[in-house]
Amino acid sequence: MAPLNLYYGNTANWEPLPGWGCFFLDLGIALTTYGNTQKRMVVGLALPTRSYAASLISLGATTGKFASTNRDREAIRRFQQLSELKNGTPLIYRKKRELIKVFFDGLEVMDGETKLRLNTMSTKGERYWITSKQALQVEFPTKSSSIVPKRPSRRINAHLSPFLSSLFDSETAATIVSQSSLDSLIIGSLWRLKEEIQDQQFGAKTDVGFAAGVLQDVVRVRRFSKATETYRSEIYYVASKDCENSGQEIPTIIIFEGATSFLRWRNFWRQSHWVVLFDQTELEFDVAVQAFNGEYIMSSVNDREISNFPLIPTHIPTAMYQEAYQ
Amino acid sequence: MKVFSIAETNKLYRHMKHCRIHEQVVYHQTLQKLCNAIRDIENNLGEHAQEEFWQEILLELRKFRFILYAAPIPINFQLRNIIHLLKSSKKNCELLFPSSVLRLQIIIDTATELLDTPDNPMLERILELVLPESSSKIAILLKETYLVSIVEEIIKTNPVLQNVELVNKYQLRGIRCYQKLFVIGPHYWFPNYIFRTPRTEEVYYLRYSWIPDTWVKKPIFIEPVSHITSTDTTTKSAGIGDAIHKNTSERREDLEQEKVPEINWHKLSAKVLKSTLDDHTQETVLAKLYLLAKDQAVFLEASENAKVHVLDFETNEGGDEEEDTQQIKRIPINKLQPGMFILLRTGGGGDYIIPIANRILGEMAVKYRDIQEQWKTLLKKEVDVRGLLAVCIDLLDYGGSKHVNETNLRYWISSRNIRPQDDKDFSAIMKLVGLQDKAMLYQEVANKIETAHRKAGFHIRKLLIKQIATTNLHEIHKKGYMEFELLESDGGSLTAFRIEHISPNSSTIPASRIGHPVLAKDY
Repeated sequence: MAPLNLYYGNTANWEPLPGWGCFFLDLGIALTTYGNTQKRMVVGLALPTRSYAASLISLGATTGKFASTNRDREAIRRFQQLSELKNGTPLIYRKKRELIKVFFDGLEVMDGETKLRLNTMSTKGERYWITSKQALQVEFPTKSSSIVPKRPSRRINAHLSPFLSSLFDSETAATIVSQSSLDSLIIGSLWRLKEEIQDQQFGAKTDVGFAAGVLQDVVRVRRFSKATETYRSEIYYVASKDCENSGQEIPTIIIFEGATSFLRWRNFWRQSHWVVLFDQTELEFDVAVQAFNGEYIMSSVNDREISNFPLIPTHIPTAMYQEAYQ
Repeated sequence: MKVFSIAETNKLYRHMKHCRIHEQVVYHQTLQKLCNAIRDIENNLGEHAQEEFWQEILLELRKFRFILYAAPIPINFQLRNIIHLLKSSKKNCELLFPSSVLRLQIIIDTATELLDTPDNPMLERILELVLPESSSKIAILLKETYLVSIVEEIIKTNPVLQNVELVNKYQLRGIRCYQKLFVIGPHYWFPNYIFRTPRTEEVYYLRYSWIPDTWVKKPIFIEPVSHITSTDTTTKSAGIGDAIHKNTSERREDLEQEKVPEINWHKLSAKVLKSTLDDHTQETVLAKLYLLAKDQAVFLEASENAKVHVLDFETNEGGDEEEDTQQIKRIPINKLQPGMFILLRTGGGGDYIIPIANRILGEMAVKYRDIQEQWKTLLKKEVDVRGLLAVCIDLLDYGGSKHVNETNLRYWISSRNIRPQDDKDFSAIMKLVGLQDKAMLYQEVANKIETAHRKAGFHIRKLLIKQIATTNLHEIHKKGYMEFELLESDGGSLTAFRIEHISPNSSTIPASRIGHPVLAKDY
């Protein structure tokens, strides 16, 4: 994976992303490209502040998802997840330039290949059969009904920002705006993350200067996007009922942003990689670290040796282990 | 509140990586002699230390010693008062504890020796370290916020220290950084983040030579990823945890630590009770005393049902569905901890929701409150005559829910509760007190009051959120409180106070004393 050419600042003065920022980016990439399909990674970091950690890991997660080795694996994973749904589960099918509200209608073997059967609610009773390669065109609607398109189908106008186009090759950039996937889910502070992701200016260096943009151009947080836009990540605030994880799309990475987030919701999200961000100045820091250490000692000693992982700055206290997906 | 910029965040990581920590040991022979004499008497009193006679003397001596250890102040600070106390106690000591007279005399003699000594060894050491670069951004961290005003008086007379900022531990969680931070006292008096994620280029922690301080650097996680090497070779210069003594066990370290004197909660409690008015309703509640910033103390109900509004500058955790209410939330009182800001009515006193709720209820307020009072009075009478347990059993017989228990029953009777949450319990109460014919009316009134209270809560939140949005967090943490002016019709003013300490024990007090902050110095 080529490193992202990321700067921050404004059009008058661009500064390269500091080392700690690059580390968070690399961590997101490392987790989504992690080779062991049987086990998930758990990483705990004790930081001086939570600022920018989750948002940059989220950027790394989406970047890592587009590493060539990952694409097929992700489609298979989505297909498996969809296959396990109950019949009648509402979904959204992104068909070329249309967004169609559908319901899962079971599996069907056609020409020796298992396909997902989707039904529309229209009077025509249209049906779609989705192969595992097409699985990424099928999305989980959000719990908030306002985000589910009211009309059965809508025209989609995918827009490529110059920032996005400068960071990725054209095919990847086009996929990001046309295909949804929950690369990362942050459970944490909405108001701050919103500013980091939607307001903070970043720049991608190009041959002719810098293409400015915001992280939202890439991470496409679902709650900050329009209903018809694709998503790559989501944020739940700590007290949200969404954190209970009932029938939602399983994200590749869960980022617990802060002690409360981890203490409250860790038992609900054990099918994803974890990054636990501990702010050392938080009131609940010690309690949360104790809980993390409690999880750590349950892991096998052999699962604490992780190879091929990004270099961790020695001044950032870190613990990591792997365990089987639950 | 402001979100950190990347440049500001970068500074925090830089300090975490490069900050140098220097231990500064300060010497003073005569003061050491005095402190040893105090320690000697503490160690030798044995069970007598629990006697009232010694309790008062030891409390004052410990306070005197703590202030000297925790602030750069002259060693004769308040010494005259100490000598006076000791001399006046000497006669009784001769009568009651003759074996301790000699030790008491040594303290008096050594203290007298220091009386005319204006030495301020801590400050002198700070001046040595500050002098060459007096324009640096420098801060002094004090263990207790009440020490700030004392030290302020001392440093303001010294031109070299004019720009030195006195800070508390809460201020060192934000974005403001310094070039030098002087930490007064042994390192274990302060939270780990002061040294682990320092908001400064250099930390100097000052302690007297005889105060034990064995720094054992404990890893945060059980097994840090030490085997993963980093390209970053300069990290070692951070110096965090330089003084590692691996052979010292944690237990021994704890035993050796210089203790911060305990707060005399009993004395403080009596003082607060004396300063607040009793409304003679004879309603009592179990309460805990909270010591707040700005030298305030307040009783808050200790019931597990009781909740309080807090301003959350820490977790941004939502208490409600709306994200903008995240900073103001209502949490159970038993979740309160030092560092949190609680909201109290300071103009008018007592509950701040009721006057606003009454305004929402309009001209019906008095009538509704009377109706609510009626069933509570009847229920209280039943409990007074037959006891909590018997009434609970009856309520269950009348169809009460699983929530019927003595704690909840006490809470339902209290004026701070509007009605039981479960309709079954409300209906059972109506039957028990003989109001089943008018149960609908009572329930409707209770619901209206509840709705008005909820609306009042939203009104307050909305108002506070507006003010918080424009507030400088560093300043709030410095002051430890934040005042909010309400419209006159809303009933005076509110203040969010930072909790400094929470009493370990509860006591039964008149309900009317709950939520009234009072000035509480010299505890």
